[in-house]
Amino acid sequence: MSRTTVAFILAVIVQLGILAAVPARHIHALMTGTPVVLKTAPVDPYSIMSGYYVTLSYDISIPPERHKWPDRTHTTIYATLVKGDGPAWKAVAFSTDWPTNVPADAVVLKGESDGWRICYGLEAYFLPETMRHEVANSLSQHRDSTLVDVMVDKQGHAALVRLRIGDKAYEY
Amino acid sequence: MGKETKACDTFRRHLKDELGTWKEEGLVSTEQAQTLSERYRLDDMVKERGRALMLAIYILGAAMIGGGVVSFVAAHWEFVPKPLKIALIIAVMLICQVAGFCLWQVSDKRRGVGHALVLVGTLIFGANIGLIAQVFHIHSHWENGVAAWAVGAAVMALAVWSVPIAVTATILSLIWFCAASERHSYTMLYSIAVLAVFLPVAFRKQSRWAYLSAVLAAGIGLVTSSAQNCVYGQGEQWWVLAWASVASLLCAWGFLARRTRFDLFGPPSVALGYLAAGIVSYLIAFRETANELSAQTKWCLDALWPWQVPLVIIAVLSLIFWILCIRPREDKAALPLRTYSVAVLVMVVAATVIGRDWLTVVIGNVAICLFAVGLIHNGFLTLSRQSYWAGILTIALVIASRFLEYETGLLLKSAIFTGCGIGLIVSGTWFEGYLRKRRLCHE
Repeated sequence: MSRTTVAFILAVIVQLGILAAVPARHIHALMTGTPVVLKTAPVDPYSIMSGYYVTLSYDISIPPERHKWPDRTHTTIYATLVKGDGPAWKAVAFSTDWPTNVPADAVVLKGESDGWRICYGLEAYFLPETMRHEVANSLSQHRDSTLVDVMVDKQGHAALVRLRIGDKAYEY
Repeated sequence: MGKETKACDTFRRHLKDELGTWKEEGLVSTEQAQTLSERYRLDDMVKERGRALMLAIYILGAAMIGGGVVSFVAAHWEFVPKPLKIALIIAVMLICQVAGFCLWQVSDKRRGVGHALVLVGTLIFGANIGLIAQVFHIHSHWENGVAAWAVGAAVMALAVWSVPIAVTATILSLIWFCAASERHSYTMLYSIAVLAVFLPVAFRKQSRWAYLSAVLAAGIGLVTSSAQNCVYGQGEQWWVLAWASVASLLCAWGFLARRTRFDLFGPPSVALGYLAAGIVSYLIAFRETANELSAQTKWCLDALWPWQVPLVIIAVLSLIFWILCIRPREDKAALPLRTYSVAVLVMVVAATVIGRDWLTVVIGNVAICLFAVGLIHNGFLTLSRQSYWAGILTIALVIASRFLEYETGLLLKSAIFTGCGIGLIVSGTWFEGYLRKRRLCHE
């Protein structure tokens, strides 16, 4: 086997490795995580590479006492979530370090501050092109009662599972 | 059998056109015409042009197929289960790459098609990343997906020594850099990485495209990271010096490369370096930029550490190259442009270091005018129409910029604009006549 052939095979293996590494954290969260429900309010843009998606903003994206955090972007923030009165979970604490004394029924969600809000990697839900009008209509009718199901692993990483608008669930 | 000689395509094309006439007129004998034809490989020209055209068609086709696959993925087809969807598109990627590699490198029969298929495979690799992001709803920091694509493409480019894939990877890496540079503090490493990864492809394949894309990306990376590391109001001189250093290195290396076996990269390096010198001198000629530079009293060495390290390396390297350029028996045609390059760069550095607003403005304006004069002078010496007109247009741009910047009387503006217009027409007509007179007005 020539050197170029070996190099080509290695290059293909590297590419496959990259493809496996991209969703590794999400697969881990989906397989080992705790199910959490979050309340959301969406809008709908388009990504060149991945198609149509709804941008999701959460109650826990802009928490109170933001002024107490370091005034810089890309700061890691940990939100401690517990089950609320309704179906959605609520945040009881935010910190820049991993929280201590986390209650057994609570879940820690890792996010990153972009200067004015926290992103948890749960801000986009991709939709088939054919479904975008139906989802957009549902969203406009149930703007205050939209929920998402997510899985959160022990490291605080989360993966989106489904979008719930009114009494209908969308899972793609 | 005559000795083969390297000559530009324009010359070969004209020689091929003329040779038939010369033979008919008896200026050269059949044997002499044959010797010239062999020396300049005139019979290969049709084949070479056909090959280049086919490669361009393959690359364009590959890019369009890649775009089609990306769009197909983006449509988010729901009639196929997720795992099958991923398996299917990975299989398409592998089929393209393996089939392409076999055609290109193993069977050696359809090299162009094979190369294009490997390129399609690399584009589908990017579509795969988009698909996985779609399936797992990953959108935060989309530029990381582009970075992953760039890494995969770069690895493939190095494995099969492909120029189109290397250029694709360079463009992708630059997109990542532009999007992510604000989030990372060690972005200056980008320039070094780009050069380290893509220059070997350029040198090995003797490709100006790979060379230019790598150098351009590295230059943009260095200047951007130096500008971003300046806290507003502190150390803003550094981005000017970064720009001047990059321009200096490119010019010096370009002049030096002409005497080495890498002479192919000499002219584009000089052109890029000289252009960079012109842009930075044009920028510092503005009163606002000069004011910002003169307002800086500190050089903020501590705050800007360690990004000055590559800057110092570049400055030292360019100094060494400039010294190596000076030789007793040198290329006389390149001498004036070399002198103009040095003069413009020295002025830019002097204007930055002096840091007095009015003096910086004056030096900046003199530098950009000198840059334009250098282009015009070079146009005359090398009978280059592009160089001459680039110089004339630069002067027109400088005059227009100064008029927009400063409030002066409308009558004066009218007189100067009219004078410039007349001067442009007269000098242009004269230059075109000069070219015709020298019977070298072919491009």
